Amino acid sequence: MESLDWGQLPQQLVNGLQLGAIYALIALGYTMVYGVLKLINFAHGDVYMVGMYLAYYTAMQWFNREAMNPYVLLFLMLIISMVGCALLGLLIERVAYRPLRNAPRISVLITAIGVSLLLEHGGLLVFKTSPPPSIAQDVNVFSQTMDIFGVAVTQSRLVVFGVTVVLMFLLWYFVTQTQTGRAMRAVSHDFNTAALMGVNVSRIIGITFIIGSALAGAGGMMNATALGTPLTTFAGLLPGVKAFVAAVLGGIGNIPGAVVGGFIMGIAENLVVWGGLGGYKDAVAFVILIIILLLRPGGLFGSPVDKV
Amino acid sequence: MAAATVTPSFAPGRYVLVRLLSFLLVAAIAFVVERQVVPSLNNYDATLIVRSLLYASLAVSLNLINGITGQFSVGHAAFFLVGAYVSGYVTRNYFDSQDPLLWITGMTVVGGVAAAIAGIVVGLPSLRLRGDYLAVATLGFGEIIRIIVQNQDGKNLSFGGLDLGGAFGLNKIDKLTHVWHVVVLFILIVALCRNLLKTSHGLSFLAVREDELAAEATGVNTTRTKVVAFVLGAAMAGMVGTLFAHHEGFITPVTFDMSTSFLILTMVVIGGTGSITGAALAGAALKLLEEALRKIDQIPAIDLLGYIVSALLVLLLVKTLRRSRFGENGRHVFLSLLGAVALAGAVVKGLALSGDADSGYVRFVGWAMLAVGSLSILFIVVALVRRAGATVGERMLTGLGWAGALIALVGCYVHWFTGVSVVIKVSVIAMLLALAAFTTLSGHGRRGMPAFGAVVALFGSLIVVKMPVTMALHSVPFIEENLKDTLYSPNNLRMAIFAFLLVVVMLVRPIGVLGHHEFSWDLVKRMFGMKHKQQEIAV
Amino acid sequence: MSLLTLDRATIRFGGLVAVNDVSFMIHEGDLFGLIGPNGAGKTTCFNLITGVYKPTSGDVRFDGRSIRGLRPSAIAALGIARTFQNIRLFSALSVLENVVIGGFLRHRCTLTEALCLLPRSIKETDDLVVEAMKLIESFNLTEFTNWRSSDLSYGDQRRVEIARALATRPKLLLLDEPAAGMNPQEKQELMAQIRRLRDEFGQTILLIEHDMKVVMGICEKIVVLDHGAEIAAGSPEEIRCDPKVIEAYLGEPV
Repeated sequence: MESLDWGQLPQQLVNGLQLGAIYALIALGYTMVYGVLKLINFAHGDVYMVGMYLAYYTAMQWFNREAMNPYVLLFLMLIISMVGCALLGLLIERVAYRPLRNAPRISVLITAIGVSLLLEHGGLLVFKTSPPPSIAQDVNVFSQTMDIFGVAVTQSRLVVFGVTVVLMFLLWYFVTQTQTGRAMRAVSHDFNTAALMGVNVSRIIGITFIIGSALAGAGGMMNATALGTPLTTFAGLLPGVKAFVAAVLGGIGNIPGAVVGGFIMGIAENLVVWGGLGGYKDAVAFVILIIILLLRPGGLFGSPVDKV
Repeated sequence: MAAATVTPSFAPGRYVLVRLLSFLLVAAIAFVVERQVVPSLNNYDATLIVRSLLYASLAVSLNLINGITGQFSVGHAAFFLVGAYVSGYVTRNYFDSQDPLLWITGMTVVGGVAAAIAGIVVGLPSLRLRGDYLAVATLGFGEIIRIIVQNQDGKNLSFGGLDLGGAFGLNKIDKLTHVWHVVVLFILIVALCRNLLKTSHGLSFLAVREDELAAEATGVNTTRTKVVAFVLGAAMAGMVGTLFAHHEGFITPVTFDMSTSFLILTMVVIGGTGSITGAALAGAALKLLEEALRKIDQIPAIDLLGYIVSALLVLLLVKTLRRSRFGENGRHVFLSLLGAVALAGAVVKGLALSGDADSGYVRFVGWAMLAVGSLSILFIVVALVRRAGATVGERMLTGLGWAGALIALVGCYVHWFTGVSVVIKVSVIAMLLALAAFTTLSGHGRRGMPAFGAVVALFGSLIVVKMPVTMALHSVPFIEENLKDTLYSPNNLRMAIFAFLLVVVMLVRPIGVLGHHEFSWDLVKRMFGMKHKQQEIAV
Repeated sequence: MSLLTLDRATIRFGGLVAVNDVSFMIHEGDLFGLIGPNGAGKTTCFNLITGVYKPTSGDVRFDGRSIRGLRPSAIAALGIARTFQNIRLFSALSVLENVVIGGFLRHRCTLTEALCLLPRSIKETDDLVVEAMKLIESFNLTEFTNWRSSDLSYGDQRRVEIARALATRPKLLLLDEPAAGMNPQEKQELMAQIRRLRDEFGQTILLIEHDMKVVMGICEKIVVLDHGAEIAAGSPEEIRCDPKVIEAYLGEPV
């Protein structure tokens, strides 16, 4: 194994933060849904994938038209991805999960796996089978590189980071400061009691899915534009699982924990690449997952949950 | 009657006889398969048999973990992989001119043991977790194993320069697997699970599934039981992997990724969690379906869209009707009418086809449709008149149910002349005949006839509704422009179809098609009313 | 020598002391009652004896050896069987299967024998089934032998649970509110049955019960818990007159 290139380390850390921001956005959805439904929404990663495609198709529709200001276009892409994913999330909840509200948790989990597979493979019907090229080069108006303390940071990465932080702040505000957010926390604390207290649980669950999916959509749009991951209908599978690991890492159901977990996952992945073990890049998430599940299943910030 | 007095079933003489007979039977099956069936099949058909039986065995082995012991494991492909790679690697490097039968038997043991060790490594830590956490942990372990194997290409990321071909896989494994090996392994795995469930040991596994705390308090060491189940299941998967590797000749890590794990899981879940019969049937059926989909013609995008839209429409209509003032009966009548329209359509179409003199086959199909359609309509009329007690809707559905059974029978006959593999033909016919027998002959069936009729009616209405829907879709300029020439190949959609099946089964019958039921001669006897169990009338 | 000894057993969950410094002894052949108001720590006490929880401090001795920290199945194998307050039957299994599992810890055949269905495994299972049938018969459940256990009525489920516990052939039987949810007549029948178990078969029984009449009627020795601590112990008469008990639990003399 070649020796480590320490000069590259800050660069890799910045890359990690960038990737972590996207993982964090997806992880928020996992954590919120787990909070209210105690369900690992396996399909969440695929909602993120749909977000990538929506951004792509929006860009293809309006890009290269003189009249369209690129910043407006980017904003439009963000909005369309978020709204589209929110609707998709709501649809999934209504069709697949709601009828199973009182079923054993394992049945719901199996359904979630089924929905995930359906989106991945059924997506082949709707989206192009051959992966279209990424849209990073075409649409990206923030392609200049800035030099911060010797680390090359493209502007787009800063923007992604900034948007993520803004979205997270909005989420934090929503959950802690509004009546609906309070109801959501009540539901995640105790489903039945919240219902008895007059909280419309179905509505809250719907809102949770809408918000979580919208965040995933935003993550998808940013990944597609800034990172330029190739688009396939399976593009959401691994990021989804990794974001789930991030959510577990931060203590599932814990919103700040999911954000921190997302950043840790992003950095860890880049560090593994930096260490010359690029082939094991995808395994690192699972290793972290298993270690955390065995040592501290409640996550870093969660209470040590009783496994019983 | 089973109650009150239980006569011990154990008697030495009978025991020896039964054992001897079952061994003879297995030997006879293996002999017939190898000497009679295989020579009459082409290579492709033999491959179909091998693959479907291998996947059925995999499903049965996962069922031991998921269904019988209730530990939700989602990483089963990893053990399949370990068995395949370990034995494949050994064969590739050391097999020379040894006796093939002895070698493959040895390799099966090697693959099984290797997978069992992997099972211990994965199981000991993860089985401390439960439910969805266990699912994710096993998923993670499965992926880790696959990624490690994928990186063993003899270069710098390999452990000790181990060369397993990396992402390109291991090739040139000697093809030592015969069809009868697979048959024997399948029977062996099913027999082991079946035997287990016949003893108190098996009950302790079930107890862990039902309630861990109560099982502990009753003296069942749950940790040990779970690990044992996990290791047993893993070992079986490893044995299957060995035969798989020696059948295909080359293996790649992609064959064993998450979607394979999900596929095996789908088989278990659809078959019925905890039912060996269900897992085996669903495993073979889904694998055959997958293979059949590879051969089916491409379908125009708009047609497919038409089917999807009309399916949604029908479901929506049925749901609204049930809630409306027409109620349950109105729904039945509506469904039956649509089904009857489909039958009438079949008659008309049959008339057109039977007049077509070009091809004898087409003419035959036409006559068959004509006959079945008219007979079915007759059935409905008879049912309408005869079953006095039921509502009009139920009577109509009963008629449709009988019609469906008839269609299944004629369908079998027509199906026999299609161009698909003989293996798929036989299995489809077996399934249709079983369904027809079940619905027409059994005690359950007579009561279940309206339900069966409802299914037939749903399909019928789908066909009826699809025609106008497709026409409407064609007239939408946006769709027509974009999708006019698009064709979908069912092969690419097979996983989507499985996923859809999975979701539907979960929504309709979360316990799986067969539930906890097992095939047994008792069940058959009960089904055909030869034996009545008082206890069955549970309230 | 006593069969079961709790020696200053204490268990804490975080700040809450669920069972505080409780000591009592049960001798062979006793019909022992454990009573107390809601949340007094009775069921926790059971969980502590059966190994579901490990005592934070103190010791539990059974049959001359400490069973502190053993896993529940090991304790069951030593001879302590229990029922649960909220019935925990193997609900998808039949009544017969439930009771057969009770006999599982006495099986001798190995897993390999079971997998290969060697003669001994069949014979053993047969024996367990015969035994289970006898138990089922003694609880008047014969007609339900092949029913799914969750299809039974509440009272019948309780009796199946007791039969399952007895199938382990315990030296000590722990019953957690066996009469809860039964109507008065069922209650009386059950109590008669419990007493018969003791009188005819010498079964040692530790009983948690809410219904004072029931406990006073059949137990010879009673320990009263309140807020995790032992506040009184003695014969029913002594308990009945104990001012602390009256204050904590009864409100008025029974």
